[in-house]
Amino acid sequence: MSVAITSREFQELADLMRDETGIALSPTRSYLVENRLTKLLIELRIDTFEDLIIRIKKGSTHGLMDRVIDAMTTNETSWFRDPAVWAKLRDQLLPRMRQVAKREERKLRIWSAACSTGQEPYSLALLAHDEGWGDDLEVVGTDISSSSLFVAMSGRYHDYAMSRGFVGQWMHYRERFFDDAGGGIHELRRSVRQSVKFRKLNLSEALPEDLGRFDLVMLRNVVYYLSPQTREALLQEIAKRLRWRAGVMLGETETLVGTGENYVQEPIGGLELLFPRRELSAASRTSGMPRRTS
Amino acid sequence: MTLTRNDILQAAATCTDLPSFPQVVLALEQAFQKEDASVQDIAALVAQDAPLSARFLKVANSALYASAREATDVRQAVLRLGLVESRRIAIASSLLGAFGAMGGADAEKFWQHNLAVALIAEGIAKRSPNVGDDDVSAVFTAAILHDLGAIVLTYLYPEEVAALASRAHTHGQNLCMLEAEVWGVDHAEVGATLAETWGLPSPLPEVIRHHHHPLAAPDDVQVLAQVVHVANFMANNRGFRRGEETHQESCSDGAFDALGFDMGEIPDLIDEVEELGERGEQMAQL
Repeated sequence: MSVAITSREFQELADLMRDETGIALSPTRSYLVENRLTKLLIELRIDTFEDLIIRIKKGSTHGLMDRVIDAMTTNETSWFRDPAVWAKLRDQLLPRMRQVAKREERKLRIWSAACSTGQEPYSLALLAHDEGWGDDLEVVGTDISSSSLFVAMSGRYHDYAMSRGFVGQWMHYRERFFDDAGGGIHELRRSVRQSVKFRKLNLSEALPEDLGRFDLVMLRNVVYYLSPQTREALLQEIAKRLRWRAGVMLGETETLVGTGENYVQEPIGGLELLFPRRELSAASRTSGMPRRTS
Repeated sequence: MTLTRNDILQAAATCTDLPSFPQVVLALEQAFQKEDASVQDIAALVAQDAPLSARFLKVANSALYASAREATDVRQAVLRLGLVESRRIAIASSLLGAFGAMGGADAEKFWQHNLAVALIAEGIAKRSPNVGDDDVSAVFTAAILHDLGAIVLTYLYPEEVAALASRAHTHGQNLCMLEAEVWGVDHAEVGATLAETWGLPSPLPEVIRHHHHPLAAPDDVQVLAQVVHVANFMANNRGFRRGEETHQESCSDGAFDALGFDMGEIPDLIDEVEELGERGEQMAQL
């Protein structure tokens, strides 16, 4: 059961969210607002979304907007989310990228943006450790939520979180790399945790200088939530952080409609990645050949 | 018959069938807040209460405070442990004496959780640059009582509570939200009502009321409610839990960020939480 939201109320809440976080809520997802905020309304004994908006605007309930943002931005996450993508990562893209990094005698660096409680960056580390080259990988996991990052750094997960994703061919990663910490808590082995560095980052602000450069940026299920302006600014910033021939991976159903003019989509290792356009022209200039995704 | 918000709050407000709150806890708190709190004062308060003295001595002489010589009276024990640790033991012991038998089979786990949260809350309050000395000293007692409503609910309505817990477990739902949805009242509000009925001084009722949504707490108890909320979240993440919830307790990032921790110190903080949580569990078992 959830409290119904009118289109006018939705618009007002969406405006508040955009002003505070740069996150754009699409009206087609108003059900998401109802689902996620109904619990908050019940808890605070607020009957309607109209009352909620009045209380946010009056500032009469301390920290109310923070709670709305918390509720709206906590993303459900799972291990190896979209298994077909992970199979290709494991079998094709990662081995290929690893060879390049190895030839250049450096670690393979991947950025998992908006990583929530750490399942995506740790899934990458699990693949590498399972094949014995975990120490050659450095994943940077970033998120805006400090408490999510606490869970990620802690490396401890409850039964429910463990039930999401560790099935079929992925089950053995759970068996091999997690220890039972008792009472329905599972701890990821330290060796795997050490391949991932977490830091707090707001994607709607300028990226810090010391973030470094990456071979791959996983920006999955993120751009969907960003306003076109924030999205464009982020993509421009990311382009500066990509190594030569490095790309950006979006979520399976995501596109850059109306933004990302400077990127071009190309298949590599069975996956569609986005590459900055400047590289294409630079590649054509130096080699006289169209870019190849070798 | 379905349980309603009114039934529950009325039972909490009239306190029939419930043990009374141990007044020695309030006397101890008052004594400790005096600038010139002395070993004599504290020892005298503890010694007045025979079951409390016995328990206090048992803890003071346990392996947790390994010492060559056994303390034979309360004064000796207080001297050896120091005022701060004595206060923790005295408050925990009197609460366990009064309520330790409530909550049936889950009682031990429940108090392990409460003590873990209390020690973790104190630890993160000390570490935070944004928590003042007064709040650091007040947080232990507020934190140890945060889930008071849950044990009272379990005591008054064991079957209903078990049914709800099993529903939360099966569907991976948040128990606190489920309480509010099904009964119209959650354990935080029940605990706060009871604290008010008992006449517990501010900020205790308000911290108990807001430990799941600290940003909604009144300004003067904001910081304490935030510390208890975050400590509860951290304790649950590390496995110091009172129930078998299948999901991770959610945390308000507003509250987490208000504590002002640098993300670089989180690994150290995690180690500290682990250590304090284990210590809390041991204290509850004695």
